[in-house]
Amino acid sequence: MIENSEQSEESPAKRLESRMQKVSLVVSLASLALMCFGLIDMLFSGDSFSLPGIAVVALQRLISLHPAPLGLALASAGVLLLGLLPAIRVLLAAWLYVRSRNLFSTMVAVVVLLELLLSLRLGS
Amino acid sequence: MITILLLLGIGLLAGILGALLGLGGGIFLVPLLTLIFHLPIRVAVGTSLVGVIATSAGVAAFAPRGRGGDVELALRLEMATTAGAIGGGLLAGAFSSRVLHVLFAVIVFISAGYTLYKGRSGQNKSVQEPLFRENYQPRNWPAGLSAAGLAGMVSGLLGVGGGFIKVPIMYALMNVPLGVATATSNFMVGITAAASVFVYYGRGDIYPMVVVPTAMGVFLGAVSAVYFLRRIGTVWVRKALVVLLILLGVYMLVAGLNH
Repeated sequence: MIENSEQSEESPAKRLESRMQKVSLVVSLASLALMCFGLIDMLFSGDSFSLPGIAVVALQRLISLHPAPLGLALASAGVLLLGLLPAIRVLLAAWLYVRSRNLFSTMVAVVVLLELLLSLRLGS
Repeated sequence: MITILLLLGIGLLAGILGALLGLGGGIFLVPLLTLIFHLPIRVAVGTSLVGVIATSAGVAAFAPRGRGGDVELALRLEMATTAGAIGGGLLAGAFSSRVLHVLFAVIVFISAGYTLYKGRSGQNKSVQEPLFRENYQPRNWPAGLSAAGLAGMVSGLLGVGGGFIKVPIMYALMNVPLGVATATSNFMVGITAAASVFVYYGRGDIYPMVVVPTAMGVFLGAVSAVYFLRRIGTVWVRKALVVLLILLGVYMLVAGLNH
């Protein structure tokens, strides 16, 4: 009961910070673990360590589960997951602003997300 | 094995400095990776973008309560920064490399001068300035947003995250405490880097053998910086920022004049 009343008294900014911290921790550790296992597998499967080495697996091949060396696929998935983290954080902020009916901040977060999509489109 | 450790070490250094000063770390990674490992610039930039996101993630995941940056301020400024970055990216082809380098140096010198001036005027106050405080109110929004848009345009023109402009804007122009400004800038540079990283991924410029040890080092460095930031004062962070800005400005000016 006490814990619930404390949570309900928490300001939206503190709640957002707390959720963002949890999401950042889980996603970044998961992506680093994927990258680390991928690199270890690449090294133990006999790939010589020369820089820059082999490039990441293309997104289409990764999504369609096209056969690719396991280590390279794991490392590529880890990089993609880490790359998605900032967008996930903006999405989370937008969602929490919607829930706390903060219209102005929701619009700001949505504009940033749209700009991110536009820059991706222009970049590709 | 030595190469992996060296990449990890470079990442660690970039992560500590990048997170401590709110720069993301890309500004150190690109020259180090090209100079030491002779990697092509596109591979170095792709690796650096993943590194910047790792810095941003490390700070966000391990910052103590109330020190993770001001998300609302970050998103409002990022609106102008991303729009400026898109405009800058489209304009980049219109300027010569020499002009871009000199422009970079001028903006860096202005940032360093203003931060130094702001710090000196603060020294006259009898109470020592805290790195973090909650009861601040960002001010000069029109000027701050215009400067953030300009910072984004410079980022788009010069291919950098722009943390070295964002921190002085928030600290010196908008009255945001230096610790909050660096943490907020770390959040913002992550978003800016995310906009470009998939382009580099799609082009095949990301190489796991380079990216994985570097990103792990950067992440560990960023987490260590969160620990350091609790123990050092504003004066040291400000001094490091000014020294770094001056060195960077001189380097870019010389590079520009030699083009």
